[in-house]
Amino acid sequence: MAEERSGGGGNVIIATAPPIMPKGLVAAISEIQQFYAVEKRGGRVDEDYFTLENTLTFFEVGFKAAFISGLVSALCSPLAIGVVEKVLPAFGDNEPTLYDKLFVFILAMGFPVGYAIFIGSVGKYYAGPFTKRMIRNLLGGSITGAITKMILAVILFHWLYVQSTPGQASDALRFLSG
Amino acid sequence: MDTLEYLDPLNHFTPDEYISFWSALFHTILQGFWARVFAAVFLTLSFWYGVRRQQFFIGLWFFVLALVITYGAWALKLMGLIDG
Repeated sequence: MAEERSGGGGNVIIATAPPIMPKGLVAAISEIQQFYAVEKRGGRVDEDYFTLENTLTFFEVGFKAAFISGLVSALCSPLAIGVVEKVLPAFGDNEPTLYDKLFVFILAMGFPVGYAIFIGSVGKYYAGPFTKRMIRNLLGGSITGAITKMILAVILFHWLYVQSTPGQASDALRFLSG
Repeated sequence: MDTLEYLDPLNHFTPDEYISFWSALFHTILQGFWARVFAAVFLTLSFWYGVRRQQFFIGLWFFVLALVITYGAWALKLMGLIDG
C-alpha cells in the first residue's frame, strides 16, 4: 500500500495488491500469519487481492511440500519393513529388538505426521475471508501432492514387484544385508 | 613444518591408530546402546523444534541426524568402511 501527498494538502491513498509470492511452505505460513494479524485487528483485505497468480503459487507450494514429505515416507517405510523382516540392520544390529522395531516405524511415520501437525497449525489462522482463501489454496495443493505421491508410490512398488524375479530379489537382499 | 603438514593426522598418529580411532568412533555413535540413545534424542528434538517451536529446518536437520544414526552403520558396512 502506498501513500502520496497531493498538492492540495489531502492524502491520496493508492492501494496496490499485496505482493504474496511465497517460495516455500514456511514463507507461505508466514504470509498467512501476517494477514491473520491484519484481519484479527479488524482490518479488511478484499478477497479479490488474492489474484490468480497468488492462487497458483500457494497451490504449488502446498503441492511441492506434500510431495517431498511423501517421498521421505515412501523411502523410510521399506527400510522399516526391512528391519522388521531382519533384512536390514538398524543400529548395526542384525537381530532387531522390540525397541528397534518400534523406533524404525516411528522414524518412518514421524516425518509425515510431524509435517501434518505443522500444516495443521495454520488452522488457527482460519479467520477472515482473505486468510481463509490463502489456507484453502495451500491445503488444496497439499492434498493434491499427497494423492499424486500415493499414486506414484503404488505404481513404483508394484512395478518393482512385477518386474523383479525371485533370483534378483534374493541377490538384492543378500547385497543389502551386507 | 607448514600448516598443512601440521594438520595432517598421519604426522601425529600411525595409520593403524588413525583407522582404529575412526572405527571406534563410528562403532560408538552408530551401533549399540549409545546409537539408540542418540537417535531417540534427535528424533525427539526434531519433533520439538519442527512442530512445537515451528522451526521447520532445525527440525528437519535433527530428523536427518536420527535417520543417519539409525541406518548409518548399515550404510557404512555396505561401503566397507566398518566391519560387523
